[in-house]
This record gives sequence, C-alpha cells and structure tokens, in this order.
Amino acid sequence: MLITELGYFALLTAFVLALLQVILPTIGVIRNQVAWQRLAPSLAWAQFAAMITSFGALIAGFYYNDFSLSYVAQHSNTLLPWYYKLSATWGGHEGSLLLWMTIMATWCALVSYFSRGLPLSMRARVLVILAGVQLMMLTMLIFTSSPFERTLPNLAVDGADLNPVLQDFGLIIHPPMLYMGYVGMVVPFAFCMATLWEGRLDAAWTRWSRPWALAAWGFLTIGIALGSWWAYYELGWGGWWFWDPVENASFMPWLVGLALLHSLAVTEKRGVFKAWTIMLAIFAFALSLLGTFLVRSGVLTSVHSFAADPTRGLVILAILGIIIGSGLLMFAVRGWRLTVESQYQLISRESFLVINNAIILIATLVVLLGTLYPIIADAFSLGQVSVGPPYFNALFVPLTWLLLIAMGMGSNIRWKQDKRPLLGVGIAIAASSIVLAAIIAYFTSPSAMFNIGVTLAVSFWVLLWMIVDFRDKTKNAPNFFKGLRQLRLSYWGQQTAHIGVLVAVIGIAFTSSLSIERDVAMGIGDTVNVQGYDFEVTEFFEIKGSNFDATQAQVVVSKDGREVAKLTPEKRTYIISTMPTTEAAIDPSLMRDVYVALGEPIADGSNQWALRIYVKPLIRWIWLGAIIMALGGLISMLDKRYRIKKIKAPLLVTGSLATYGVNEVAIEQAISVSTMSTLKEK
Amino acid sequence: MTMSNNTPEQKDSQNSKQRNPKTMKKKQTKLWFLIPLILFFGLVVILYMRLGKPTDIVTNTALERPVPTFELPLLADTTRTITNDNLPDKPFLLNVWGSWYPTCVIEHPFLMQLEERGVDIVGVNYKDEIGNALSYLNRGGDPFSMSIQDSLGQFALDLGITGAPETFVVDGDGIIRQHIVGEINEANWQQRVKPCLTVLNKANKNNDSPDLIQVEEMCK
Amino acid sequence: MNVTRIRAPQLKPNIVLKLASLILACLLNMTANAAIDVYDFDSPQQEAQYRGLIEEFRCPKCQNQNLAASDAPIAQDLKQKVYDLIKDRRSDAEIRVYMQERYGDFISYKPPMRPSTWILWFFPPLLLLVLIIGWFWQSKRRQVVARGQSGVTVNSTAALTSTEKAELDRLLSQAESVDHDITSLEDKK
Repeated sequence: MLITELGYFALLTAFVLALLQVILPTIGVIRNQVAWQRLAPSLAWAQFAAMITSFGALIAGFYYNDFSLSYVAQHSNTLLPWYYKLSATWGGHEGSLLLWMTIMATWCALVSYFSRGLPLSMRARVLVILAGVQLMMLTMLIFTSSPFERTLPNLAVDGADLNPVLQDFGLIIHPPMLYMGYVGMVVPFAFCMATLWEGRLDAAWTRWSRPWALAAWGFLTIGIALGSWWAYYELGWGGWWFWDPVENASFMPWLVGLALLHSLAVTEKRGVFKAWTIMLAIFAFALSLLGTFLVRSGVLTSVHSFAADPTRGLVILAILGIIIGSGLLMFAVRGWRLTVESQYQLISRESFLVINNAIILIATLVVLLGTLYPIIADAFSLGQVSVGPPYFNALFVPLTWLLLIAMGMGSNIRWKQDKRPLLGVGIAIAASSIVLAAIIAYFTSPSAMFNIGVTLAVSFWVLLWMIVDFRDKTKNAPNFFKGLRQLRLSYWGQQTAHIGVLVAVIGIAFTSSLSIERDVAMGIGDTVNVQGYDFEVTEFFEIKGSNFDATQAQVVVSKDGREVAKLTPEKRTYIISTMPTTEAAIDPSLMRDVYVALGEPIADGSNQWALRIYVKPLIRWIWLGAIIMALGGLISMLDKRYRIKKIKAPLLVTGSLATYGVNEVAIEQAISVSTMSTLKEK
Repeated sequence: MTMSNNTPEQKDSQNSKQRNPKTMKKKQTKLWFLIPLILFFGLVVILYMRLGKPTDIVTNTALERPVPTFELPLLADTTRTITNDNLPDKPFLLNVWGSWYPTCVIEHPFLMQLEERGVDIVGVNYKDEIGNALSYLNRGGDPFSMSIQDSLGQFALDLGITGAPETFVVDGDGIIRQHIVGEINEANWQQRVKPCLTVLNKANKNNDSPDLIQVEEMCK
Repeated sequence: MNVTRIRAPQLKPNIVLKLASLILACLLNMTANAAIDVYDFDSPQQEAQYRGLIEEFRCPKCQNQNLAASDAPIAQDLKQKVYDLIKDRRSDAEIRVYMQERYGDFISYKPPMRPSTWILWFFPPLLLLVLIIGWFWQSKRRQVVARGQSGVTVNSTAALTSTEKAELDRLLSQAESVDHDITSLEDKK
C-alpha cells in the first residue's frame, strides 16, 4: 500500500534530517556562525514531523491489515479488535524501536520548543547531541530492523497473532509511558554533554535540565507502575514484581534518575557536586540504553524480552559504547574542571543528599549486579547460580529503610550548615514513630511484626519530620495557612513525591508480608472461606470473544453474609495461536484486593475447576504511591523558576555573595562569566 | 573553548604558596574522573563476549556420577522389576522419553536409526500411561533394548531432567558421562554423542576405566 | 496421597496443538496461563512452607520463572515433589538440599554464599560503608582545613569594574524579587 511506502520514505527523511541536525549546527558552533546554529530547532521540528509520519504510516498498516508488511503479518491479524491492532504496532521489536525513536523525536521537538530562552550556543549543542543519539538509533532501525520490510511476493492472507498476553489495555499505554521515561533520560544527558562541550563551568544547566529530568522520571514511574499493574492482573498469579531482568532494566534508570533529581537539586541550589551530577545524568541514560540492549540482545533469559538476535545486540552494544563512551570520555577530559571547593558543614542538607545519592547508587548497584551476575559469572567462570527475588529483597529492603531514614531528616535540615539543636527533636520523633509503629504492627500483623514494624516506623519518622518541616517553613508567615500558600511549588512537589514513596513502601510491606493465597477445587455451589471472605461458585458459562473462546466462572464473594462482589474469572483460548490464558477477576479496593483466577477442570469427573484465590492487603497503595510520586514530579516541574527567561546581558557576581543564598544559579552563572571575562582581559 | 582556568585556580594565583599541593590534587582528581570510563568499557567488553551465547543454564548434576539407584518395573513386562544391576555393562545411551512429548515423537525415527547402527539404548518411560507407551512403540518401532517404566517420574527427577527427551551417555562402569538436553539428531549425534561414545567404548574394550581427560574433552 | 492433579497426562489434546503450545510456552517467553495445582495440607504452616519453596525454586525448563508461575511439566513434577516432601515433614533446608542434589545451585533463586558470590552479597554493602565513611572523613578534614584558612572563599570582587558591580547589584535585586525562596530568607537572617 502506498501509505506504508510513505512511512518508509518518511523514516529515511528523518534519517537525513537527523544527519543534517548533527552536521549543520556543529559547523555553526565551530565557526561561530549564528545562522547555522539557528538551523537546529527547525531541523528538530522537521525530523519530528517525519518520525510522526513514519509512525503513523505503520499504525495505518496495522489498521488496514497490510499483511504485505512482514512486521504486520507477524504481529496482527484480521480478527484483532481495532484498538489492539493499533497497540500491536509496538508489540514487537521493530515497531517498538520505531516508537522509541518517535518518542525521541518528540522529546527533541519539545526541547527545541521550551529552550527558546536558552543561549543559542547551548540550545544548538543540546539539539545536536539529541540528534546524534537519534541518528545512531535510526541507523540501526533502518539497516537491521526496519518495520517496513515487505513479505512480497509471498503475501500472507492473514497475519499470525499478537501474543494474547499482550492483547490488553495495559499494553496500549504501558510501553509508550515507559519509553517516554526511558528515552526522556536523554534530555538531561544532552544538557550535560552540551555543558561539557561548551565548557561552561556554571550550574545554570541544572536549572534548565531539571524539569526534563523530572518529566522523564515521572513518565518512567508511571510506566513501571503500569507494567507492574498489568503483570498483576494479566499474568494470573498475583505477582506484581518479580525482579526479572526486563523489570530491572527499567528500574535501574529509574533509581539513577532519582539520584539525579536529588543531585540536580543540590547543584542547582548550591553549585556543588556539578561533576557528580553530570556523571549521574550520563549513568541514567547509559542504563536506559543498557536496558534496551538487555531486552533485545538475548544475553539474558527473561519473561518478556523480544525475540533475541545477536546481530541487533551487537549494533545496540556499539551504539551504547559510542554514546556513553564518548559521554564518559568527555566527562573524563573536562569534568574535573567542574570540581569546586564545597562549602558546607557536616550537618547540612548537602550532607544528607550525599547520603541519599550513595544509598540510591548502591541500590542500583545491587540491581545491576544481580541482573548481570549470570553474565559476569559466565565471563569469569564463577559457576552458575540463580539470582532472584530472595537476593534482591534481602539487600534492597534494608537499603530502602536507610534511604527513608535519611529522607526524613534530610528534607528538614538546612543548606550549608544547620546549627539548630536538632538532636532532641530527632530523638523525640524517633521514639514516637517507633512506639506508634510497634502498636500498629502488633495489632494489624502479628505474623510479620518485624518487616511491617520497621517500615511503619521509618514512615512515621519521615512523616513527623515533614510536619516539623512545614512548621519551620511557615513560622515567619503571619499564620500557618498563609505560610503554606507562600511555599514554592517545587517544595510542594518534593513533599508530594515523598508522600508517594511512603504510600508505595507501606503498600509493598503489607502486600508482601500479609497476602493470602489459596488454591482450591470448586464446583457449582461450593464455598470456601479465605481471610474472612466466603467465595461461592454459582455458575460456569461458555463465551465467545472476537478472537477467542472462553470459559467463565461466576464467583460470589461475600463477607459476614453480605455480598461484596461478583467476580467472573475466565480461561481463554485464542483461536489463532491456540494459547490458553487466564483472565483473573479482581475486586479492587484501597485496603485490599480480592483476586480470583480460573485454572483448568479437575480431571476426576467431579465437575470441579481449579481456582486460585488471593486476598492482598494494600496492594493498590503500590501503584497509588507511584502515581503520587509522578504527581510530585509534575508539581515540581511547574515551579516558575524553571520557566526560562531570556538572559539579556552578561552578569558579574562574586562567589562570596553566595553566602547570602539569594539566587544561587545567577551567581554561579555570573562566576563563570566573570571568569571568562577575566580570561579575555588577559 | 579555552576555559582551563576556573575559580579554584584563580584562588591559587592569589595564594601562590598553595599552588603546588593544589595542582597535585588536580592531577589526582583527573584520574578519578577516568574511573567511570574504564568501568564502563569493562562492562561493554563483558557484554560483548556474552553476545550470541546460549543463555539457558543446563543443569548437569548427574554428570560424573553413577546412575542413581532405582528399582522399577520393566515397561514390556511390569511384573519384572529391574535395578541398576540389569543395566548393560558396556557403554549405552539412557533416553528419557514419553509418548505424549512432541519432541520425543520427532526424535523417535532417529533413535530407530541408531538402533540399526547397533547403539544400545535403554529407555526410561517418563510419566506415561502404559497403554499409550506400548502402542507408541508398536506404531513407531522399539529402539530400546529395554524400557524402564518410571510412572511417578522419581527416577527421572533423580537424574535431574528438565523435560523429555533427554539422553545420558553412560560408560561401562555405570557412570554418567554426557547429558544431552532435547532431541538427538544426526547433527549432535555426529558432533557430540558419537565421539564420546567411541572413547568410552574403546576404554571399555581395553577393560580399564576411561581416560578422564579424554572423556572430558570428548563428552562436553 | 490426597492430591488432585489438574494437568494430568490423560488430558491429551492432539499432538500438533501440544507441540505448538509447548514451543510457545517458553519461546514466546510470556504465558499468562497460571497453572493451578490444588493440594491439601495438614496445616497452614505447611501450606506457607510450600508457597515459600515453590516461589524460591526456579523452573529448570522455563528458566525465567519460578515453580509457582511456571507451566512446564517439569515444574509440575517438582511442585508435586516439594509437596510430597512437605507431607513427609521435611524441613526447608532438607528440601533445598534434595533439590540441589538434582539441579545444582541453579534451582534456588537465592544465591548461596561462597567466594564466587561474595561480590553479590558483600560488595554493595561494603561499598556503601566505604563511601559513607570515606566521605565523612573527607568532610571532617575539609572542615579542619577550612577553619585553618578562614576567609579563603572565592573572592574576586576586586576584579570587578564599577559598571560590572552595578550590573551585579541590579541582577541581585532582580533575582531577589523574582526568586522568593523561603529557605533563602531564613538563611539570610
């Protein structure tokens, strides 16, 4: 069909445009020609248009069942409902890569839009670096995995099927969200690289890149949460996180992104840790690319990786090596210049953020080591062991507790130096949170006192410090509420995100310690009691979907004789792939989920079916927490100081003024400008 | 960009007596900045070496150990019980099969060929119904010198199998020397099984235990 | 034995279907088909023990899943075996040893502690300790140094011309009015 030809053509156009976007502004930067540098934003827009066209064409190919495209023929068929046809576009390797690049082009266009106020030299450099990354990815897409490959002359009459597991609402939104986050990590990376390239020594770039880092991290949070939620209701065994390599691949950039956000905050406010922040930005993007590599190269076994292909793996590895290698090289050559004598005392916000960063990085290391251990063991012949949930939980949980302890106090401590007598407050808060936690844990969960007790204690610790902090921040205002209104959005964002963390952590602690699971054989009229709920099977139905047949059970859930929910778990068989799948039925609520999955008929002729029943307390809190975290990120982004205004004149400020803590970035900027002008004078 | 001077260094020029230790420190700092690059390239090299290698872990705990002890009925005549003593005292193949495993069905004709070539194969009928198993052998022929009926799968579990078919090469002393997961076909027969079996046979003829180094080389 | 097996071998669809689903089971990597085995236990403790173990053991066939999630026949057998051993009142450790004898260290998702896995278990916590202690020591030293030469903050005011100073003042006042940070206000006092 013509439209898919158009898609391929648009893809090639995007490739050329990306090439131009790399070359032309670079020439402009080298020759110091403004006109050439000005080309970067327009090229970014053009490339965005080309990518959207290309992606749109592939979607059209799916919508109109263009089985002359082998990618469409492999991942769709005529029976698929239209919305799954659309989401099937990113159901395989080629299409998801195209989505990756379309999102990359989107970020590119967004950067070029929102960076209008930036100095042109910076703006052009950022866009050049973004285009450079895009160019390499496009090269790979076009030469090793084009989704526009034809099946001609052997035209397929109908397609194979989209993996039934992927025929789900979750898959429509999970990959785009996740990729927005994954790919979004390129923006802070590009800002850092541009800074090093230009040789800026100030910290202005932190203010420019912080909203981008927040946005990417927010998307990643939502994307990961969606993936976890989808696994929970779709895979039929109630798990929401398995520490699978693919999950870890998305979790690592999230963690480093988290460290980056905190480090950016210090650098923006105080001008310290500049080199460290740059390194984190590089790491965050490196781990995004590493994730792409792990998922597509087949070096690890995983539940949901794409078809493994060593050639593609090699290309992605080469891209990873070139992009991150050159980033780290640039960092090694120029990064040391950014080191400044830091001026802060031991008891200061800076110190706590160092601790925060150390803990998060170690947590990332745990995930990285555990994920790559099979590869490391293979390389050094260490013998084969399996690294799974018991390992990750054993190390990750204590690290999370430590992190929360640092978070509680750290968000109250002041920058630079805190001379308040905090010991007393700290002890009071610690004591009261321990007592509170112990009481609650004793009454709600005597079976898992320790895990839940400690989690609750650190949560109260954070919460109480938060209250102290709100009082501190508002004590100069005429009254509390006026004070609250004066607080900045970035502060609200920070506290919101922290609340989100608490919600998620509490949810995780309760769900993983107190979930109840029962596997039972039930026929019509049978009743079973799980955790105070009565489950009665009332009926079995045979139903027909558009592309599957299913058996459905009706299970009435009641508590103390009152009906709570009517659940209808299904066992489906998809017509084309003949794969059986379990469609669990869930009665969700904030405090607990009731979850019923239908197995297979018991083979002894008793008309019974196997059912799996879960009661999972507070599981919704996990995803709710993630949403709150992302919301916190969004609120922070909206802070007005991130709206870039045009910088009119060169500024001159001295560092000693920084002690007045007025506008750190302006000062940092000014210091660099003054340095430059001194140099010029020389 | 010529920005090699920065704030701390300006400070140096003001306190010139401090200059030397400071530049020393700068050099040290520079080295620190190389560490991420080096680590990263180490990682890339490790990942590169891994590309294209099989990722599935093959568990080989049965290797270099005697065939686990068993006491199971003979498939052809379930009233007869056989034990380790009934196993051949020359090298043979121990093939775990089941009539309901599709890969076994695919493998079966090749096992028939092997039997024609004079290879001694002992079957372990894994978790099968006797009727199905016997009619399966009637239909496709019986390549096994005997089949052990392992209806509970305990013997197969002791062998550490991950599915059927799996084949073990056992030497004349009853020690398992090789473990093939999945079907045997002409390719892996020529490449892996035959060389191993040849070595074991030679050793068996000379009536001594096989040369371990050679076995390790040929029976990987 | 008080067990009801659901995926008993007598439920045999035709070979082609089976072939297709078996290949798909692991190759397509993702199955949403929860195999459910119904076992009766003597006590909730036994049931909890069973759940813990089948979640800890890795399926030798579908290697990215634990026994609980795996649909492979061998996983069914191993679950059955775990069940039998539990009914036999064996402890977790005994069952682990039983499985390790047959499937090696591979079978448990919890890596054993031994020199080759020290890097897994000890490297991250030690590194954290080193990082924090090292940094603590550094900043202590830095504070001592700073006290020794007070006043050596960045101070290049002298290099500013009067126009530059004016610009600076303008900027600062502007920044102050635009950027109203409460923490900064406190610092200023």
